[in-house]
Amino acid sequence: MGLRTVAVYSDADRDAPHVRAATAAVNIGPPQSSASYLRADTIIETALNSGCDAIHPGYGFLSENASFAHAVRDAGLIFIGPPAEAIRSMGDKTSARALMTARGVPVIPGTDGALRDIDAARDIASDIGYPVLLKAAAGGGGKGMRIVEREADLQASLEAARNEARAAFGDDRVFMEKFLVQPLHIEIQIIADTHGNCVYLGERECSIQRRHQKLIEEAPSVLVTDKLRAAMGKAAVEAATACGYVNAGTIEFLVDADTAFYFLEMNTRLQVEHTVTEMVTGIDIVKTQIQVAQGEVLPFQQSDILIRGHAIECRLCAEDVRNNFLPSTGIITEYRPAQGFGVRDDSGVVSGSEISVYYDSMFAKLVVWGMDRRDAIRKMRRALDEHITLGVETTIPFCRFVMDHPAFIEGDFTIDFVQRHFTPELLPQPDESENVAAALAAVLMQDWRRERPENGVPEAGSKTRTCSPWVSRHRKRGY
Amino acid sequence: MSRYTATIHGRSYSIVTEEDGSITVNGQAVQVELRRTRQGPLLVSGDKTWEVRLLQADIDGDSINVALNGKVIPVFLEDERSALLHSLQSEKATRVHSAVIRSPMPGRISKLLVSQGELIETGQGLFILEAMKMENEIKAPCSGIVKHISVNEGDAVEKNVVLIEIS
Repeated sequence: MGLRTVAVYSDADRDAPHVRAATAAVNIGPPQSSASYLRADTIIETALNSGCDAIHPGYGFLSENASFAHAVRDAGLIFIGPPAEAIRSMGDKTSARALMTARGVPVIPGTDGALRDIDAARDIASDIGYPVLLKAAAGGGGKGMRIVEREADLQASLEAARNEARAAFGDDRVFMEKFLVQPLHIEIQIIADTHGNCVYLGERECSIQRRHQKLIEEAPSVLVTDKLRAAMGKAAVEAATACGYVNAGTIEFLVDADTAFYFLEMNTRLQVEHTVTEMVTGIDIVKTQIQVAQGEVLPFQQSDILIRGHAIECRLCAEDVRNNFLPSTGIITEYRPAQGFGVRDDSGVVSGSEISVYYDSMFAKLVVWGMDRRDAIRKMRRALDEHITLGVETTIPFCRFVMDHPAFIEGDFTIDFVQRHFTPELLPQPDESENVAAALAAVLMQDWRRERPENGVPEAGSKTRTCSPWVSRHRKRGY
Repeated sequence: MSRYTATIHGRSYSIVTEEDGSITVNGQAVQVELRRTRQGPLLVSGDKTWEVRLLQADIDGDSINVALNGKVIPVFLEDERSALLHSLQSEKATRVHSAVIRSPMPGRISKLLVSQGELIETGQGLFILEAMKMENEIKAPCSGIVKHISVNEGDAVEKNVVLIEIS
């Protein structure tokens, strides 16, 4: 688009790739996000000082913050996203629910308002029947969320959900809804312009989740027929117009075994998994977001949207899948993305980057496009094998496990796939030839180290330091 | 001549390297070469070529993490002397060794789930470590008695700090 860009970064991200990719980059504070990436005032001031016209909020931090969107506009800048009012009405789960009910979009049975206290929670839960789900009113990303199986656990779960909600969002309001057993999580991408046009870009299947965090997404969904897509698309457009929505957004639905769908929530921002929609529609969503923000008419109509082929995204996170997905911190000693036709390896890191405790563990998104689902699965397997991240544990073995699993291959899964099918013991062990090669490599590298101790080991990540020839020459001379 | 024992996922391989460069695995001669290239070392064995990287293994490790084409394989490598030492150590010593629970990452102990003197089972939750915006439950790697707890709820901890000892 020929735009000039200004990146912001915290002290921890001084050397991050996005800093180099931008035309200019400005430091906005210490690593803690509350003191940098969440500082609306600093970010707006930075934008004004660097002569920016617009702010793209990305998909974390302030991207779904109505006050921020408001402040950006008050400062005379363009917010590349929806109006603050739309974020507010959809961001508050209770008001979103009421709005959807009024517009005839189906919702899951549950509370219309935040839970007053434990007694009210008990009454409502016995009304709609266990299991129930507690959700933070301001929530997202699985934080402040608890499934309650029986009344005995209700009080403890309510407290935990409130605590998590307060810590994550500064708002401890929690509401309750019926927990649908084994549904699918399917969402519809929409984009609306300021001229009254709103188009849906098909669905994304996001049922491979763990603790309500999406791990793998794909488009289209094996379950969604043309007829269902049209019905869900229509409901999604209805939801968007109900709140006066402009720009890209996503309406999340839960779909049960009978393909009945229920409004879950609207994400009023670009989503991590927008990539799979881009792959199958050929539409650059971020580019379209900018066009819409500039006041342009959407460059396509509903009838232009065709779903072609199949796309899959694996979120690559620094987590130890053999150890309960425990976050893994450290320096990425070597990083090499996968390549090839139909492979998109979006990374936030390079060799030498540090995975710190300050931010989310997702460091890359591996996306593939294939002629059909089988082709896409095969390509993803190859891409996962080709991608190299050393120095931290990654979720790659888990992603590979899913790509090899018969239930996933057959499209026979629901939202409990991970819980039902995955245990670390099922991860494949190296085969005999790999074992022998690893053993030999360990021995030969050890021998080599002994022979030439002054050279250390040439790899990054080893504690043995290689010192420069100038330094060793200096030392030998005895300076 | 050097003798090594490499153990991978419970399988042991006895490897002997000779001065002339010949190598045997479990008594069988193997053709293998470690090529030092500008892109790093390559292991060539028969018709296969692997990129080799050595990674720092976890704390307390005598093990080396070997990455072959990006796939990490933990190798417990002993030379003759350390293999002998290892065989002399009682099994008990190994068990106590594995029951020191350290913090796997910096974070905050949001909840202790056990108390000193408590009898615990393998897999039982020991404490909740809050880090990277998530609450992570750390589980007992073995059964035993909680001998010592070195932290309190609410404490911020660094990586690799000893938190709980089980015996």
